[in-house]
Amino acid sequence: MHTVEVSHIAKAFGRTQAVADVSFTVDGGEIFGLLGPNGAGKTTTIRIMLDIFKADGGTVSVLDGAMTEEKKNRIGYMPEERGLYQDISLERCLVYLGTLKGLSDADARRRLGAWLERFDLAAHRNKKVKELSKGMQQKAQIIAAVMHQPEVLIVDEPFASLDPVNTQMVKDLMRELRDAGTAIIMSTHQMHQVEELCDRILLINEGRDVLYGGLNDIRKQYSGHAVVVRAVGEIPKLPGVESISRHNSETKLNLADGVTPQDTLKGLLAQGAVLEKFEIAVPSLDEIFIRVVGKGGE
Amino acid sequence: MSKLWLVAEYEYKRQVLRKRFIWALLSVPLMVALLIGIIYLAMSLENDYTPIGYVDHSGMLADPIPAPDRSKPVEIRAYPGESEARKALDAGEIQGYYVLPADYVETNHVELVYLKRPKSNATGQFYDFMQVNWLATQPPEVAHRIAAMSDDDIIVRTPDGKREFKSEPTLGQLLPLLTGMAFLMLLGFSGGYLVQAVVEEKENRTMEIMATSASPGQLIGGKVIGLIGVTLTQVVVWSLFIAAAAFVGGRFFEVPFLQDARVDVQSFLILLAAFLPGYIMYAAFMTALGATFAEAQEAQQVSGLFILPNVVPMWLTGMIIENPNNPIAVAMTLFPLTAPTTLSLRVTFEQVPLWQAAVSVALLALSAWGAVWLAGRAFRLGMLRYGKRVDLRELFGRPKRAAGGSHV
Repeated sequence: MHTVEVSHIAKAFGRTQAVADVSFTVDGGEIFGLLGPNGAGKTTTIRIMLDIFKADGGTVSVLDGAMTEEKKNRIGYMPEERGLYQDISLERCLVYLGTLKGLSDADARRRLGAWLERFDLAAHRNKKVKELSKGMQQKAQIIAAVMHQPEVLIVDEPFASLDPVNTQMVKDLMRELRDAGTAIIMSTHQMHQVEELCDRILLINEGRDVLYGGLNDIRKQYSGHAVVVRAVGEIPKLPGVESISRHNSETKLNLADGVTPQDTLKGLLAQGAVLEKFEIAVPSLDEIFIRVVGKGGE
Repeated sequence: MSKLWLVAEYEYKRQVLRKRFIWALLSVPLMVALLIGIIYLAMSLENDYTPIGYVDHSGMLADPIPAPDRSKPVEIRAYPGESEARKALDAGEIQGYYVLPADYVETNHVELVYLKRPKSNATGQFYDFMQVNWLATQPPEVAHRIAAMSDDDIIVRTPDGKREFKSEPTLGQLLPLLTGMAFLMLLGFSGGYLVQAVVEEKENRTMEIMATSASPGQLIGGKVIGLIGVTLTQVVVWSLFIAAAAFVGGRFFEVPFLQDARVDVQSFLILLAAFLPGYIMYAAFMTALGATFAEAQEAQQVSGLFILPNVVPMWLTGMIIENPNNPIAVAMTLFPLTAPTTLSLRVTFEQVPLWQAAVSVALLALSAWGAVWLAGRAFRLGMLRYGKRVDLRELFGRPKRAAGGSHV
């Protein structure tokens, strides 16, 4: 049984089909990337998973069955629309949100102390939320999503407004939670973060699944017939190379049909090229995203 | 603690610990204290308990009957001659003195000698003194009738004898009316809190977190319970202050209005039965407004429209006092939006027919139920509408999938 199991869900608002057919599963101990262009249906999918919206069709199973009030305490959520109570102190706000997730007042205060220390917010605990910077509020929002130790964590653009130090802190936290067995669903447009963190992804476009699976498998699937080379000096001309493109110090050699990367490597070495890097070209997630979404799905 | 009570506790504390709430809470007692202070000051300035004298040349007061008892009497001193009286006046022993000439019984003419005009409590008491002594010369039946005529204490009773009004009503008699006015004030105060509480999560974008932490029923129920708690706090604190003021004013300052705070139990029960569903109905309307509108300010402006019907009966007070059973008053008693304040006015001045009170309360209860349903629907439709209103057609129409994101 998967921790989260979404099967062929659909949802329309009036004449707008926000989600047409989306399916995926997420297990404990993995970070799952939920990707897609703006308006693809990611937020609606998340809201259906969380039972904020009722799906018109399909089924959702979270933590072994349909969503219940009790299960809300086992889920952490940081929505795209950020918000905290502005006119109260940071501590009071987070303790309240913690108790709404099933923690006792004392437990919420105890846990919060540790989290505020970890995120360098301890000195600001008595400040009103509206007095905090955007980045601090973002960190507070992350604390609100994780302080009750959820089994499922859903984060929407978790790195927005964070500086590099805090970004690293959040990435470390997500890896830590994953290692502790939490099922994490991350929605973001920052593809390099997905490449760094996610084990598997789902790319949605126009409310439908267009790419789903392990990140490495998908990248292999989209890798072209090319190699990336960095060499000292000029790269010699080789038979079987159809075209060359340069990106900074690296050169991409697009190979003709029937020519293997091994043939190319042998050819380069035979011509005395001093190689610093030689690898089969694998597209970045950014490139795959643009190719898939640009085509309108495959 | 269940989430319903967590939300209620949060809302309660958030409002009660605000400075503006504390000011609002203290405003009524401060006003009452100020009023009592002003009344007391006015009474102090108006009264002077220095004795007043008289010189009787007519012989009418040779063997005077004392003036009727007063709670704070002014001593009336007799002087054998005007020179003695004048000496006492110059020495400040008396406020002034009356001179009854020898032909007083024929002319009814008296002279009042003073340096500074005597206060009305002294002259009033001398008037009573003279009246008693005049009536003593009359046959008893004539004296009784004249005394009754001069006493302006006219009592108006309902046919069943349960209610009566004197020319100067007491606190107890006016309490239903005052309760109605307090109800209006509470609507004004709590309406703002309710709208703010519901719309706040939309304004600060916490609604989505809240929706994944508690059910809409827990959220909306907790908010309403919390704010009813806030209102009750106001009611209890105000009632205690008013009771204390009535006690102090009646007991120590002897303000006649405050000396009788007895209320008609039936009237009070009718009001309680009407105010409870009336308040719930209003609270639900405010919740619906908060959920329907995107911004608190916008919603609060519209909330005034819901208070307005309750103010209308107050404008028509004259008409209702004159004829509490006229058709307009009866219609306003039965119409839920005007019922609470109309009832408070009518029970002050008459025994409202039981069937009217019963139908009014039943309609109020029904309306409260409908308003709660509407509030729940508005909340579900509007909770994730950031910066966008729920339109009325959608609110009252058949459940449908709404553009912009919501479900029913």
